[in-house]
Amino acid sequence: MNKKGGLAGYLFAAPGFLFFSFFLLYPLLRNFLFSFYDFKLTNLNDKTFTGFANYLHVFQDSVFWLSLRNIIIYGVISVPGQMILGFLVAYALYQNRKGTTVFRVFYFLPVITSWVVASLIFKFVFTDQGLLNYIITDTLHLTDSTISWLSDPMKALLVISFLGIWKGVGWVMVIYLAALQGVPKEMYEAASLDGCNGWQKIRYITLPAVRSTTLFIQLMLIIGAFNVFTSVYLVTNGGPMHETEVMLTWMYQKAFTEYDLGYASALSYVFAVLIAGLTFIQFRLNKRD
Amino acid sequence: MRIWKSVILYGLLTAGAVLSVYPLIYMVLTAFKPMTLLFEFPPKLIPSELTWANFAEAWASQNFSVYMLNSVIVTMASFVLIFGFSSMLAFSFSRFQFRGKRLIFAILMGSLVIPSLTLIIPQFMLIREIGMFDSHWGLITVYAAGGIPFTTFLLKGFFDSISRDIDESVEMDGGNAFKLFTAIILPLSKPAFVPATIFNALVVWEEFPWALTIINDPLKRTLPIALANFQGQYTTQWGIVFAGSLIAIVPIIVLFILLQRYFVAGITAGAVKG
Amino acid sequence: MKIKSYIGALALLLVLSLLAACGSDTNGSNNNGTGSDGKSGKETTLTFWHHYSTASPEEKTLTEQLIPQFEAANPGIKVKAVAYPWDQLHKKLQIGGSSNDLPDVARLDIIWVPEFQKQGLLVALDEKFADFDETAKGLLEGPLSTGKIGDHYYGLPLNTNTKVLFWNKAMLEGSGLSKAPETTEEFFTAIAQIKAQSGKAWGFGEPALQGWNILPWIWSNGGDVLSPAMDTAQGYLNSPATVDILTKLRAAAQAGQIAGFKPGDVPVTEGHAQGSYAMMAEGPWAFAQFESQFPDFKAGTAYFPRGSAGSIQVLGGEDLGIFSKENGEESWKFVKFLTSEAAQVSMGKVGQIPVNLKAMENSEIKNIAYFAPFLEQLKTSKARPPVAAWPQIDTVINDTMSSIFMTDRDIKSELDQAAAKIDELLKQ
Repeated sequence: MNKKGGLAGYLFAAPGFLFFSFFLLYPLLRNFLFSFYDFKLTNLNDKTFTGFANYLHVFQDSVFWLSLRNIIIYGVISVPGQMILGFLVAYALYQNRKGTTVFRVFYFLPVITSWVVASLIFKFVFTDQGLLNYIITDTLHLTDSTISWLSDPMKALLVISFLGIWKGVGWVMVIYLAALQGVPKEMYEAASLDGCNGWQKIRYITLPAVRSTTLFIQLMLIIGAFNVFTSVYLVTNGGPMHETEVMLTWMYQKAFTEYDLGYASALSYVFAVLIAGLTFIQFRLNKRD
Repeated sequence: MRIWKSVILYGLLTAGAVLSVYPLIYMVLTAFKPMTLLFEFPPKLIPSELTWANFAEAWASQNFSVYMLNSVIVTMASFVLIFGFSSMLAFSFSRFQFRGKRLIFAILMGSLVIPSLTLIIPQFMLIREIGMFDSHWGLITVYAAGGIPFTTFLLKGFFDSISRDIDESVEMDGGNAFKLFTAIILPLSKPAFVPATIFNALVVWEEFPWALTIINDPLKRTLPIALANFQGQYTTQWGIVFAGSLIAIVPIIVLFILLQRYFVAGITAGAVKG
Repeated sequence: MKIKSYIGALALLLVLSLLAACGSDTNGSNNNGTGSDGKSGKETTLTFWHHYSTASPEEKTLTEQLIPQFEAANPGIKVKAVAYPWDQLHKKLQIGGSSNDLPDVARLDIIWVPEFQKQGLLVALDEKFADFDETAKGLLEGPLSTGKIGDHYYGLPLNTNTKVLFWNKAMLEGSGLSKAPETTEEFFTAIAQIKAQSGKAWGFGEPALQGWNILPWIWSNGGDVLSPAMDTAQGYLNSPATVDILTKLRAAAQAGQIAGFKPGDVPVTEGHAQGSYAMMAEGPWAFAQFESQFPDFKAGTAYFPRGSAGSIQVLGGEDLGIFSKENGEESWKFVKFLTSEAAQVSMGKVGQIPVNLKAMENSEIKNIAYFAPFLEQLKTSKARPPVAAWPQIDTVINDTMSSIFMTDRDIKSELDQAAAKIDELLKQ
């Protein structure tokens, strides 16, 4: 049945794929067409073909390059941050020891919290007279001067990356928890007999055994990093001076504040190509080793 | 030595857990603060005075219970479509060979990189053209289309892990593909629907821009729109915002706590094969 | 909870919810006010979009008092009020305008009126309704003019506001100042003195860098954004008067005397009550916030500091616009009701400054002590340029001011660039 059955295969795939094509793929292609037009939100019924003008605009736009830089910074901090912490927590919790269930729920709670609420809370905690500065200056007396977390672009990006890590560790933990169940216990026992210490066991048994999971997580987190929006929108709104703008906040501003839908469409396709390229490179690198 | 290791381990885990949960506690405490204490300086860990007023205000204002029901309806109906379509797609990918299979799978997975925000305008035009504007169907269909790729991916991983020997035994008994799907694969894959439920609920439950764009009738609004309305142009009553948000996330937390035992089991095969 | 029962429950809920979803669709189309109900002469439902925030006293007054009153006085007309956050309302109207999903009536920020008029969405009130002049005569002139574009009126004022100078008595006295600064020079001396006295506080808090925030400084110093004909920014936004005041403000900001506009800064209104900012320029809503959050704080108010051109603050407020093609008469009735004395007094009591002349003379309004300084300041307040491209121009102003206040870049050349960008927007 699994060798032949072409017809059955089509029959099972068709409803879902047709539905998906109608409600997602078709708008996606329409959006692609928009990217070649001068097309304004204030007049959806009227558009002029302008060829590659929108794309040219994107590459000449200094904020586009800023947003690209910021996405890279965000990705470089938050992706490894989530992966390392998520793996460590999962490794500590994957055996059914006492209290692990409670810990699992605690670490997963941030995943469930809405991005809006999480962003508002981080903003409260990190403002100049927020809780964190209060602890640093008045409780611990580490420094006298107030640290402006949100008005310095690099520090603000750091805060947004922290938020990403805080929100994502639980997700990574859950995926690793699942994968770790699949590592045969005997391998650890054999390693213990060979005199391996804890770190060596992770290095030579666990990590290779969950390699495909690691790749999967890495891929999903990179995609997630390119999609970061709510946290930046609510914590800094791209400011000061667009220094913390990321792809989606910039696209949102172009589309809904400046009404330039053609530009926004072109921008989203440039980023889609970037993510696709990155994914392709990642697959290639992994095939090699 | 052993004991010390445990103590350090649990100490670190507890510290991490506190950091994970603290912002939520902060939110809970703010929700319980009276207006006069919202911006205390120096900030206090535990407010000196607690009140239910914000919750009462949030729940009584607007039609909060209607919005809650709307969110439940939209989420549930999206699940029906997502699970129906995705499980069939995943079954097709897992069990059959046909021309174009790789292409279709690649298109589905490729769409994961497209942020839903970029599609608002073309989807808005489509939904208007087919007469679903200002209706829950406009939300349900678009949410479902967005949920299909990742759900298909999760389910396919699980289906792949079910031994093909079963397929052959069904075939020997004279069963067809439909029988295999409904009588064997779906029942065996129940756990896989748990993580799929949680991941989709997280997205659908808090979706804001799309719901705002196509819903005009206030009685059809979902929770995120209601929550946004608590913020004012000049001043915002944060206590009410947080109280409302807290009420809104309770169903998701309850869902997770109820299902968390099956969560890891449901993801196992899917992720390892990833 | 077993998996099986979970799936069962899920299936049941799905069926129920699908039924309910279908059900609510049909309900919705019955409620839709622009449907056939109006024509058949039975009952008309007006849709009214606004941005009073949920659970605010204004929203409660609207839905619990005013709409029931209107419905009782006008049998056959029902009003469905729909709230959106301020910025989302703008987007909704924008998208709705291109696809004809608009309310009958909406409460519009005065700066949106030219934009929606240009798109042809708003009904010309003086053309369509015979008793327009009579109604308009009873309303305050300045706010009324915000609805006028070309020769016609596209909006009727609903409420007005402006900002005045708030000063924290304790902080000013602590720095040896007995009263609020009256002129720009006194202002800059005062904030320097306050900074010298208490290092951790600021002399003045400005919560953002948009036209709403920066224009009063420019205007009071004799500068402007656009020419009087409103066709260019060249020679106005980059005039010596504008450069001069921005130079002084930047120096004060860099000396730590002015803050509040950077992300993470202490929020201005809260900070003013708690002793972080000795002064701020804010609207009447600040009083409502003090009352609920800082009942012990006694706010002092004064004219905005006077520059070479006077004390010119920015005019704020909202207009009512009619979008409806079918329910014009009913909409007009509702608009007249909201601008009537009784309705304006009710809204006045929750902090909305009335525009109805009789309401302003009403003893209940006159007793609201904190309105007085705003009414005085309103006499010299000025509206932002009523051009359709204003929202985009404001974005340019915000970007330009951010780079002026947060970097060391040359002010004149930043303004030159901004003027060029604005001129391009004006041409579209």
